[in-house]
Amino acid sequence: MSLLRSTKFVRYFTGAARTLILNSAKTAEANILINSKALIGANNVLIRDYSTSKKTESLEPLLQKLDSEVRRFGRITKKDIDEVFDEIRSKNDITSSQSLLVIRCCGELVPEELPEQRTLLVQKIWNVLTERGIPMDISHYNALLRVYIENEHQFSPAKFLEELEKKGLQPNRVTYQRLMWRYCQEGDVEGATKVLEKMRELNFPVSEPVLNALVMGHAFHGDTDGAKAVLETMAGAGLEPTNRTYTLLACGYAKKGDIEGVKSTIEAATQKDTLLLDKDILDIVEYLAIGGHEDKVEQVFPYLQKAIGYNQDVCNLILKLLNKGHEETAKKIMKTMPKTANVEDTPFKGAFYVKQLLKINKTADSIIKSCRELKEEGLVPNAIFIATENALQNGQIELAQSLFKELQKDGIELRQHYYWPLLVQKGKEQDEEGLLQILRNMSAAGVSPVGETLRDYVIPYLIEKDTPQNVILKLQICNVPLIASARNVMVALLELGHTKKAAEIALQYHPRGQYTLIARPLLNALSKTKDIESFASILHVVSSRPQISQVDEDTNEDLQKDDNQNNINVGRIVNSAVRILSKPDLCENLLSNMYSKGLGINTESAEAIAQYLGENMTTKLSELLSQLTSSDLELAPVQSIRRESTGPPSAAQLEKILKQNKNKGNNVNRIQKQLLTAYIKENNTTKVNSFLQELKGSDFELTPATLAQLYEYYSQNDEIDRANECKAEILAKYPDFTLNKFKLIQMAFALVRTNRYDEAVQFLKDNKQADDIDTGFMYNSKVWQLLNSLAEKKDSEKVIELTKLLIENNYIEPSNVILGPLIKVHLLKDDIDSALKEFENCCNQYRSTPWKGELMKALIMKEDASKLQWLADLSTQIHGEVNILHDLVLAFVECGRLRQARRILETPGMQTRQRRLDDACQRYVEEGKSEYLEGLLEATKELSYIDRSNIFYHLLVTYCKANQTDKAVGLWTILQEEGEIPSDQFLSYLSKHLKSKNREVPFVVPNETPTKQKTSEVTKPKQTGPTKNELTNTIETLVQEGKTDQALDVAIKSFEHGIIPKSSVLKYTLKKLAEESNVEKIQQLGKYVSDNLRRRITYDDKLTLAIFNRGDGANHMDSILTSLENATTDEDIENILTKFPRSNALASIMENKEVLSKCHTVAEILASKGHTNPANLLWMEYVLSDKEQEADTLWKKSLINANSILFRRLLQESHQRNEPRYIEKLISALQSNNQTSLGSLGNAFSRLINMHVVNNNLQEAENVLKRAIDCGLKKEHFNKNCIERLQSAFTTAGKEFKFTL
Amino acid sequence: MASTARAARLYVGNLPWTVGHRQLREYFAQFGAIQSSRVVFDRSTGLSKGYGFIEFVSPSAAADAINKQVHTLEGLNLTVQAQNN
Repeated sequence: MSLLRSTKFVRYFTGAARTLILNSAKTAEANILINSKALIGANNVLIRDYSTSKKTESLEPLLQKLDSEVRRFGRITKKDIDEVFDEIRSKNDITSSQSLLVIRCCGELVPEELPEQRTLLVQKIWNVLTERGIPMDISHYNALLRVYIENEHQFSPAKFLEELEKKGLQPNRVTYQRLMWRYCQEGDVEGATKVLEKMRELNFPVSEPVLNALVMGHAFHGDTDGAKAVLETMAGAGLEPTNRTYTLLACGYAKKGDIEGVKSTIEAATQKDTLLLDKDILDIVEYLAIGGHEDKVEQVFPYLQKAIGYNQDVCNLILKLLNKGHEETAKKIMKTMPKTANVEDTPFKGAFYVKQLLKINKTADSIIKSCRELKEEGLVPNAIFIATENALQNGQIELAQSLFKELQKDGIELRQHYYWPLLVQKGKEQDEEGLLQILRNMSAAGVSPVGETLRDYVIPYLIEKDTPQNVILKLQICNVPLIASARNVMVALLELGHTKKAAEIALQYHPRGQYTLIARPLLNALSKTKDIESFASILHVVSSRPQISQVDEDTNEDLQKDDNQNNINVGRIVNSAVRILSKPDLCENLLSNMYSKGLGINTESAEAIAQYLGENMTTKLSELLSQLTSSDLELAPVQSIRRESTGPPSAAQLEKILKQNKNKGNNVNRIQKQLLTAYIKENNTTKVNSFLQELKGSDFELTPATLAQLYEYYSQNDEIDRANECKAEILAKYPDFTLNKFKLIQMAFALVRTNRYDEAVQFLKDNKQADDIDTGFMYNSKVWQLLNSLAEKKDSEKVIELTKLLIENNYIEPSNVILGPLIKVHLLKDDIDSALKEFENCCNQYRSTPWKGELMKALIMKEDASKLQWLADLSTQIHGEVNILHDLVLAFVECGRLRQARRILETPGMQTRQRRLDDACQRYVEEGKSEYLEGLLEATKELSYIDRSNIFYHLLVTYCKANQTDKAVGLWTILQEEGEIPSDQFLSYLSKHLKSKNREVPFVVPNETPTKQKTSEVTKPKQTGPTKNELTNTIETLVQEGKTDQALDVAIKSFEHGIIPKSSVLKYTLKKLAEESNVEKIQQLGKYVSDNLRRRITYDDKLTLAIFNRGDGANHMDSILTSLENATTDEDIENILTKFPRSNALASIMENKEVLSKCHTVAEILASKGHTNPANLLWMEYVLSDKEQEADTLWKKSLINANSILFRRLLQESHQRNEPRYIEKLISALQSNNQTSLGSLGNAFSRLINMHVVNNNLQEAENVLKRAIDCGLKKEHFNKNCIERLQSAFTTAGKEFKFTL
Repeated sequence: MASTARAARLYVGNLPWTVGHRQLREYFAQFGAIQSSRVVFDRSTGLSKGYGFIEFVSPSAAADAINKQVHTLEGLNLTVQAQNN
């Protein structure tokens, strides 16, 4: 086969030379075919093209990135194109020129992909573009051709031409050149000839590309002589061969392995001053490899100049070579890459090479072999690491594990987290056996799985499908220690909210300690389930001591320390738990549960709890707290599922032991003491007394400590005389002995209880304390109990006197808790004035604000504004303004005074403490106070700086708990109405509730599993930038200051950082921009907003309004009209509908005949296609501007049969302008449309009647009602209240209402 | 629960994938006692996100770490910043 032998070609060439002179400027397009680097230039033109045409589209940044990649590396990655593709698929707005660029990027510019894949990609893109109806011209087809050629895609040129014809596109010169190339690629003489003839027929110049095609055709099919002849012939005809021409010839020689031919061609070119570029030489290298002459590649290396960009060219070649399996050549050419001077090798050196090895799916063994070679030859020192990293990223599990072994062989330590991607992958594949196998492999490799591995990557997957016990068993089989498995399974269960199951695991396996790990999940679970019993059991197990049967004396001290530490840890957790439970009765339940298990807490925590409970503190709670902080409290042994419980020895047991020992004649002193304590603990007065008698009869000596204990015991039991006897006995022996404050208070309390108040006062005065050293929580709570008991008897004088006495005699320090009874006693008597006086006293004297919330509420209910102000002022001095304002907001809400609450929230400069509101919400949920939540919601409406999602959520929870399903669903509607976005949490909760009620779920349920939720919580990096709220506030402030431009810039910046400002504020900003006719700014925002957001912020409406305000309405309508004429799909129409002006825009052009008539035309056309809204909008504006005639014409033509009519604006406007005639007009129009529902008509009539009533025009109102009834309207068709209002207006006017409905 | 002073907390970026919690801790231990050390992992992929946080017991140790010009760990130069806010 020889193309040249068909002498016909030579004829063309002679002609060609002539034309070429005329067309000496090579077209950019022609160049691209040969040298992909030339695309850079072409791209520039392209990008300039569409950026100057002011089409700022969202694609642009991505395309610019592509451009810069090509510029820097001469290649782009598949990922880049995928991104572009996704963008195209999700948006409609790709311009014709952009699509051209995208098509062009699917060829050699992606060397990492196999040519077949690239062809599939371009076809995929092509299909999407066609579906979208993106206008495509011949340039697109030419670009497609180029890609096909670069990818050596088998296609039929004839069919291609056919398709062009079908599309009515005229093939141009480039088309033929490329088809020619295609025939030559195939070695199809006949085809190439036909194309050449056709080109001649059309008088197309035969230029360099045609020449190159011919040379290539010959050379690549073995006929290098023929190729050379073409080259020479053409040179003779005055058509100078270029470096590419010589390269193609040399490649032909290379393919044959004719290295001499290669060399002579290169030299021939050099002689003609046509220097071959690095890329040309690299092409020759490629063809040597393709031809199987890898041994000869070094011989062309001397011709390399290694100019700028050489390394990138080499990368491109290596990727291609690896794809084709020429690894030897790849390595050889890699070695020619010059070392960068002065820069040390990065760990990533040669990463592209290794990545490509992984990409082309070679076996693990061959990859490892290649990596070893690359490492040994110094080409890629980190080859194995790079391969491992990429294997993990790609989820290539087998490969990764083989590579792990290699790393170990090299003595490199394997780390825990190397295995995580593998576990994730197995989990995703639902491959449990594989998952467990990896765990076993970990142990085998000496990397025993740690807690984090189990918790985050193993258990969440296993726990879904099996019982916790089995999961632990499975883990045990994989060599995970039992306790570690159990602990982590327990945590996982807690995170899933399965508190009860977690408690079972705790009791069964006894995982102890590790508070830091357990605290958070335990508290979260409590807040989810309120399972106090399980909570306490787990805490009990966690803080339990190892089960050693006998504790040695000398380890006791350690145990003591341990206990203290335990108390601190437990105290912290319980303190948080109390806040979570918040309801006093639940707290009491928790604390008594703790007490029954002997779980102590530290004093600091107990105080914090008391402080938190504040006004909700009860005697019972106070007692429990003191018991929990008592050092007498002993941890009960953990009841085990397997073991029987063994409590501390009871009095009865001790009696037995005592008897036994006595019989044996042992020293029983210690046991006797224990027994006495046991009687005291069991509160068995009879036994205490009789046993004391018995002891006194023996040689048992009561120590002062025991006597003091008895003193306290008797005081507690109101046996004052006996207590005093004990005291006397102590003092007789030890005159210096002083009873501590606690015991004194116990005595005083006993005196009070036995109605010996005056004695109590005297007693306390006599024992005046030297200092007011804090004696701990137990003591403080005892004092409170004492005062509270008086308060509850409503004995205000005594409360005041005793409080003062206790403080002045250094018994106690004043605090909100201690001062509480002072206020309480007055409130119990409904004596607010005294309470306030006392409050003032507390503020001034002790800087405390006891019962402030209750007082506020009492004043609000009494509507005593001045006292309230006074109270707030007083409190502000102590707690600061912001805190008090929050207190007031909540107090107002709780009293149902929403307007006042709102007014405070609206205070300029008021920084809302979200935390305060959240805490309150939580409390309301616990108390089931949905009315408070509703109030809070109402009070915070449209206050954009308050995040209301939590309030919505909490209200939802209360509704659902109360089975108020309709209200719950209604909440979802309110969210939409108020433009708030329901949180995923909200939607999940609501959908769960609806499903449980067998109700339909009207929205898409967010796909969210508890584990996933946790993920986002844990891995979300701490936000360092401003938050959504802060940004939103900034934007709002800027707009308010009239700096709308800046506001929008801030908005765009925040989008770029992934933060979407609140839509209400965006909408507001757009509105202002539209008023300022700032079309450009609005368009700038366009590319950042998602379709959903676009609708929410009425983006298109605002854009159109801006265009209209700028006076460009006519152009806008023209372009709508054009697209309307070209519209074929529903999507096209939808698009047009969004661009049609809305009421405000229409209102602005009512006097502009030109634009108006255009709007009219478009509205009519759209209506004829079944979209009546535009006509509807326009009709309303006609009516409102009294253009009767136009209104009627439009109505009759487009709206008389419309399915639905919008008229809210008409109603609003007529009310505002107080013009009943617009409604009259509406009613008569509605009546002419036989689709109108009676409800719509009723609505219009109701509004008309209302207007007349408001205007006190009862006669007219009555007439309207009569007409309405004549139209067949029934009571249910009228708006609520309408008839009622009319009726009462009649009554007031003394008229008779004679309608019955 | 009890959080140490913010001043002792650092953000560490540009971590190689090979570095886990322990390696991060071991490296920074040269500047002082470590309260906590955490590399952030993406739980949906199991891969390191290439950054982490280190919390020293004392702010002065943190200051020492920040003041060192270049931190190199397993071949990469780390970005070390005080964790404000």
